[in-house]
Amino acid sequence: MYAIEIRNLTKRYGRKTALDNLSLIVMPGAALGLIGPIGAGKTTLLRILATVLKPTSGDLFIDGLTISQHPQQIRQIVGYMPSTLGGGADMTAQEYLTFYAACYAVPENDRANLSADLLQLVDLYHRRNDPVDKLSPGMKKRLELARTLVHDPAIMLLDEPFTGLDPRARVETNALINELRSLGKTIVVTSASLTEIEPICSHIAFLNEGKLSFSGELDEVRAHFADHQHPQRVISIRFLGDPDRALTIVKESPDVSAAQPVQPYAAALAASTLPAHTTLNLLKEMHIAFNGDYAAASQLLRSLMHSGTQVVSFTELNNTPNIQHTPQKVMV
Amino acid sequence: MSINKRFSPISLHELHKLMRSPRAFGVLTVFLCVVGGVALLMYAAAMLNETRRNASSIGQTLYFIISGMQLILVCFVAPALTATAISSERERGTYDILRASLITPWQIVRGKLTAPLGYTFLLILSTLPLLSLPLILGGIEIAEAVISVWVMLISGILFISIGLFVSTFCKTNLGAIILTYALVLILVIGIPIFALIASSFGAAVFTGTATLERLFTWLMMVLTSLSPISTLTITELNFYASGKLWEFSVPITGASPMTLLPPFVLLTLSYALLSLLTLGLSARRIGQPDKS
Repeated sequence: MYAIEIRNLTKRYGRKTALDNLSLIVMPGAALGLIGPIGAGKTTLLRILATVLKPTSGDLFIDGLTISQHPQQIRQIVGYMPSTLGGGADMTAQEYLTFYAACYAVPENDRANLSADLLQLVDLYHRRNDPVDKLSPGMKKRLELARTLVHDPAIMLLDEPFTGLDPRARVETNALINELRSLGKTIVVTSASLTEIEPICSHIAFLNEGKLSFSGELDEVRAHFADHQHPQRVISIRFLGDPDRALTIVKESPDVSAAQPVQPYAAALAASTLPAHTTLNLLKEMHIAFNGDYAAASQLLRSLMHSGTQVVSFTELNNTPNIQHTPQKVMV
Repeated sequence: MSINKRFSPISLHELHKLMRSPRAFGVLTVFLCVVGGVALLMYAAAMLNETRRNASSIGQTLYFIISGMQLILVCFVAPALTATAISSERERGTYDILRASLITPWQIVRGKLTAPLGYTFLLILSTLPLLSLPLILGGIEIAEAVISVWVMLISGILFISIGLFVSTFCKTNLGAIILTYALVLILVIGIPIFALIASSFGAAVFTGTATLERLFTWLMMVLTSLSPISTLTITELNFYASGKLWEFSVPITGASPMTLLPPFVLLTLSYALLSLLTLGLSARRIGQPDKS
């Protein structure tokens, strides 16, 4: 049985489509990282899985249970941590956890011990009597993680757990989530940055404008990005000197797939009636299609300078990776 | 049975939150000072103007002042206690956490009601000793005072329910507070004014046709009984005119007087229905997953 199964999920807010025919399967014990920019639909997806947001269409199953028909049973097995740091409304850290333990029907006699254990797990036991609102953002995030665990859920939905954390708090939260993974929990965690959640995920899915653009195991994702690590860039080179020599040097580079002089400099050069030695001091520009990495780019620049070309500027015009993704149903 | 089993966790939490805050005691103190201060001032003023033989008149004046002050303060305090109950959870980002837990919508509604109801009752009951003054001076019956306190308690319940209902669909605290007070003002002041205007027109149009006049009178009575101010006013006027609190009749032109339920009974019934309706709608709203 899948931990989470999503079939053709669509969510619309008026005319805006937040999730567009999304299908996804998460196996038990997997740690899925949902990556995407703001507005990609990550939070919407997590809120739907947490049973607090109604989808427009599609089928969702958690542990084989339909979300629309069994919300209470699903709440028993899902722990949801929203991205906002809500605060405890005058509660101390221990009271906060005890309160939510009561909300999850944890027997009254077990609540105090459970709260203490969870506070120790997230290394906040020494702050148990401090008001929640007085804790630092990192501590609040850890407390929220502890709160998510009060009913020992099998599936954890963590929305942007690293947002607003300093580097040290990130490392601590990473370690904590990894510890939860080792306990066999299925984790879905969202972030806008791959590097942020890479250390805690076994699988990655990319969401963009409500669509799943790419997903797979972490190694597959790494391989995918390695393939696209040096996408074609357009580099503009402005220089003084012999344009033919510069063009020859550039074309010798195995990473240059095309090179072209740029108007109006090329036209001005062609139209010039001046002697060749005087045109050397005219500013020229060429655009090259370059497939290499930054080291190769640096090497090309060095070659041009060694050839006597006076490079005025060497600028990357297009540095956006152009990765074509195909929406697909994926199993992670 | 322990208190934790008797009350939902939200009830206990809200009670802690409310009673731990200095604001609760501040509001109670101000409430008592305002009602007590105005009552004492009025008493002093009346004593200067009236002779001792008119002690019952002073008692009546004091009763009206104290009841009026109580009612005004209940109208201001009770809605504020729940107007942000859910919207503040939404603003803090804890609403989703609550709804994603095993707490049922009715538990949330009950939990959000317990503390405000208890506090409103405390406010009303704490001013009861002030009513002993008009009772000692004479001029009012104990039953009048009981009806007055009863109307205030019932009104408090409805205002709290309205506040909770509004907060379930308002995104911001400010919007929830404004809308709640607007609804309470319409109920307390708007409806009596409307009923007064409608009565003036109705008297001219329907007088002479007994059936229509009865229907119109009944409709006006129901409308008037939707406001605690007009309910208490009519109850007192009827009491001074007929000496009866539990019987209420209205003269009909050319026909026998029309007997109706006393206004405070009508208010009790209509407020109980409205409270149940708003609470039911609140639970329904909380229970439904958001659409946006």
